[in-house]
Amino acid sequence: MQLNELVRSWLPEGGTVVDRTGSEHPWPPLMKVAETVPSAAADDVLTAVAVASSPAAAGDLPAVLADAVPGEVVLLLLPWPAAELPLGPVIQALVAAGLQATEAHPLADTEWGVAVICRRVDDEVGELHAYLDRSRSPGPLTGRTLLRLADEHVLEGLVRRTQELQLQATKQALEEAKAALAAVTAERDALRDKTTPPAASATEGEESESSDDLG
Amino acid sequence: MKFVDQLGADETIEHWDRRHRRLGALRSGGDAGYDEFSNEIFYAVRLGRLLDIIGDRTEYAAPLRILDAGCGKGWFAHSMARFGHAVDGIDVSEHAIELCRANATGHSSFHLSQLADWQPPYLYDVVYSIDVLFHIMDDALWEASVLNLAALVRLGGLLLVVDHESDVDRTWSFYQRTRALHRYRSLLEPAGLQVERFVPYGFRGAPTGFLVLQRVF
Repeated sequence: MQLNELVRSWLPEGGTVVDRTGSEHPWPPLMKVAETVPSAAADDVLTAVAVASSPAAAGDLPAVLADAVPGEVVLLLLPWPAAELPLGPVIQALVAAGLQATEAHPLADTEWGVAVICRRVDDEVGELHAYLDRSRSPGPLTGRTLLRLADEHVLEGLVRRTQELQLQATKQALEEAKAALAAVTAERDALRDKTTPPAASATEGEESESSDDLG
Repeated sequence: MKFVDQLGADETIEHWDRRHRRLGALRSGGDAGYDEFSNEIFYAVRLGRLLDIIGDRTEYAAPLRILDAGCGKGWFAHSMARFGHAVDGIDVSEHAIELCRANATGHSSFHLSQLADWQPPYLYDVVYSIDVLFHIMDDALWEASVLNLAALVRLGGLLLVVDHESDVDRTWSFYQRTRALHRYRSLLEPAGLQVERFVPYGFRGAPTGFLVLQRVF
């Protein structure tokens, strides 16, 4: 997803992006851009913060998230590609800051690889909403709804972990097959070199023996 | 009214495979009473309704996972794949599935399976079944199909089934049997699905439409 497409899906026209990214990103033209958060959190305000790319990027997360106030909606921009997101430090920082992630997307058009939209809820965990549709929610996370979430978490984790192993095994088998192919190709080329007579040795009008039948 | 020669489960599979081989791209899985051009509009109208329900957001690099249950030749499934979603299509017609695979695009895969038998190792954000369930004549198989589709929906996800907006079951022909909406409600609410609304097709007075259910536990 493009960053501004995500912003436009969250904010109404005329909404406010509080830009704390320190970047030159051009926000959607119909949005207001501010540098400070309004006194009260509002649904038409999104605070953008970013972690710059560096070897110590994960260590910057707590400071980047420290200023979120209760109820504030934060657009957290992260430097890693989605498939390489360092889950441990990211989730640790979100929870420590009392932030509930409500949506996360890979980004296609910026230096940041991932966007996480989160709200500061502290201990009052809010409802989940359907992936790609925040207007739809299964309701408060209590009772059977919470039970369902826990069961999905455990069993989907089991399947994902075993599939990761299968993927690794497939990748390894592929690498081994590539190496075997390279070895056979090298052996074939060596044989060709041995059996092909030098071009200069063929006399004019005499048909040169082809080595194609060795291929 | 009792139709003595209603299709059994195996006969239903043969019927639909034969129909997909015999009729054109749209009539075979659409309304055979309309020509291909009317069916083109019929498909487009239903796709619009479907998008109104599912929503218009997309994420190609981390896609919404969708099941098209009874996908026929794949008109809806291919559309969903073009929209950037990850789509599985299942159908009982070997011929239809071959065509789906030949025309597949984006994140999509197609499988020969009955609705009651499809059990992948993942959950779906959206499961829909368009104009399929009322062709299952056997009540036990219908029930097993509906419950299996429901089981594939993740928390907060949607199940969309198509039937008449009616309070009574009714058998229309040897291959058409509609069920009252309260049958879906009584079957699915204990399984964690909550009826959200009924969205009529609104096409030439058709009594059919989408029953929209959301998983709440």
